[in-house]
Amino acid sequence: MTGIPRTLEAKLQLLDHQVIDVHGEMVCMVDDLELRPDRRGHLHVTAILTGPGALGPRWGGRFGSWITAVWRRLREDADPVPGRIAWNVVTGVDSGIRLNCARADLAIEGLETWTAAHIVTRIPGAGHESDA
Amino acid sequence: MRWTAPGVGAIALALLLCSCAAPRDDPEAYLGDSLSTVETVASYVATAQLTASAVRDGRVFVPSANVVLSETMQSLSDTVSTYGLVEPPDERSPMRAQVLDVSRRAEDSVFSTLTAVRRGDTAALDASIDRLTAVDADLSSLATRLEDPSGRRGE
Amino acid sequence: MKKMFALALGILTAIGGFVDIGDLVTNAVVGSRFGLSLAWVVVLGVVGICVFAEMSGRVAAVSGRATFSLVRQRLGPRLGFVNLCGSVAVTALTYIAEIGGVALALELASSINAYLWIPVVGLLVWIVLWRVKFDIMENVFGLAGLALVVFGVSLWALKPDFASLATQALHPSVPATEGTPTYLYYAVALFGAAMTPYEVFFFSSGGIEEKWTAKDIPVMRSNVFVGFPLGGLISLAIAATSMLVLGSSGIDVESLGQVALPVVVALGKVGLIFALVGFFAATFGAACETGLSVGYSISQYFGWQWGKFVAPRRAARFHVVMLIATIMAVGVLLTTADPIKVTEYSVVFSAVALPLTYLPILVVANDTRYMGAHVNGRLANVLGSFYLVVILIASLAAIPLMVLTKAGQ
Repeated sequence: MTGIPRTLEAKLQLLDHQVIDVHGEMVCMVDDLELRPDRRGHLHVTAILTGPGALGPRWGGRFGSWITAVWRRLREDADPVPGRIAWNVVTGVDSGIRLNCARADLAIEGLETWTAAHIVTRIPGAGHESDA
Repeated sequence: MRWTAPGVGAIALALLLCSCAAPRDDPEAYLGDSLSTVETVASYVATAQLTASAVRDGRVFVPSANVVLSETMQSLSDTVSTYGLVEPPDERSPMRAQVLDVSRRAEDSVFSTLTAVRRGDTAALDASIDRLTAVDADLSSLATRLEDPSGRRGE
Repeated sequence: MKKMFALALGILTAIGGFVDIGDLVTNAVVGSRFGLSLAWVVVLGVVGICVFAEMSGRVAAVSGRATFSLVRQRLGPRLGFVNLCGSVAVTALTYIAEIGGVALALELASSINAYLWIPVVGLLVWIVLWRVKFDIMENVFGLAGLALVVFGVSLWALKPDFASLATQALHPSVPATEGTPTYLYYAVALFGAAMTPYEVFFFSSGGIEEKWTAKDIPVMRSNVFVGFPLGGLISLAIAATSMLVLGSSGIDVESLGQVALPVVVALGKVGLIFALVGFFAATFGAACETGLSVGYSISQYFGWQWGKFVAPRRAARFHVVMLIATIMAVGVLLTTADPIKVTEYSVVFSAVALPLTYLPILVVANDTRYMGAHVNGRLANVLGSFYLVVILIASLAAIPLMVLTKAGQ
């Protein structure tokens, strides 16, 4: 594990990288970043943002705003926020972003949870790794 | 004038029929169509010949031969009926009749081969192989005759 | 001993898994119409797929990231998405063609209509995607695909004049009966059939399924550099037998049954059994690979958990994507689309989509930040850049040639 360098080039080393949880399972892509300035005006990454709510605005254009609008419509809360992974769970940055928690604890996997509950677990054998 | 649904439908149908049975005004293009039809038909006849002799010699399973022959029969009929829909530029030209005549004989012989293979009738199979050989010869002589007068090679 | 066995197994499955419906149909069509005058394209395509499969396998082994994950990293979300749409469309088209090919192989063996087989094949493929272990899937279909070596045996049994075959292959020229645009159109189709993009998605994702590390690179290389060229020889044998038996009788190949005819003529029933088993294994294996590739690409773009190494419950979106793709493929085929026609278009559109896959791989394989000591050497870069030019030409020429020749008529 490489740990986290103090300064990162966000575009090259973070954006559009795979996020991996503590068990090595894939969590999401870094669709966008949440940045906060400190007192001296330096920007710090405070969270990884993910899901259509983060990807839509980055796509931009008509298609991007359409994706964002659909995502808003599908959410129950009035002013939804994109999936957010606080930076303090990040333990390493290499070809992927590594976390110290499991993907199930992050509460960012709306579509995964829905497809698992409504489609996949209803088919026999969903709970086993592939075997012969 | 009002556009009624049946009226529009009739016009559409008429247009469709026109486009299917469009006469070829260009004699050269019609010659090209005729030649490529003859070549395609010859390709199907050759496929049937190979398959039928393999059945006769016990070199192929009947279900597989049946599939190859049925597909050949189907494609052959499609080719012949497509050619039949094109009107020749010159009504007096014997080309269309010649091509259609030999193509229909090709259809008949492939069909009789298919039937013989399905029934497992060895005598009928031998007879159809002879018919296929005869049609094959006619097809190549027709192709030569079509090519020859102009001395060109069609696509 | 165990290592030797693993090495041999890898090479054998690479040979048997090389040929798919696109290679079967395109090589037979080309053989009957152009003889061996397009053999150089097969060689060009096989070397090309070796170069890029090795690169993508190396990237996967070193970085642990598969192709589409890197495509998005490199191209960003917008361009990456355009690329995803193009690649998935072509891979899905190939998936349709492979499922259709399995149905045609079963029809040929049983004489039960292919359209009755299509839903059955869809279900069987999906069961394999859902349940069967990755390496078992690869090994079973790869080894069974070796039955296609029967085309090589047929070539030998037909006792051709090998010297004149070699002359024809080494001195390519457009046959008198065909126009130059048609010749070039089939050159592009053959190139697309040999270099199908899904092979690279599948190869790199498969490396991660099998948990490759940098230590596995030599084995991966031997599979690619020995297995793929030998698989390419099967392609050439198909073209050569098709030329000898079908081309000489003026037969244009339009069905899978015709592809098998040279084997029937050369070897009879025993040969036909091998050909049928080979057709089934090659198309079924490729159907699984293309189905997985659709799931891999989409999941990798969005960062979803994918792979057969976790339970479907833990990769729910990945499995739903593959389920939808399978239903769609069966649906398209049941509109009575002709699988052979679908195949012919799929190889040409593969050629169109080639740069989408190969450019990002070349870029990443040159990135020391990812690759460290395993970055591209000079040879890989010279070959990679050469192929990039060839791929661009093939990609740009494909559609104009298709229009010009009315898809090769």
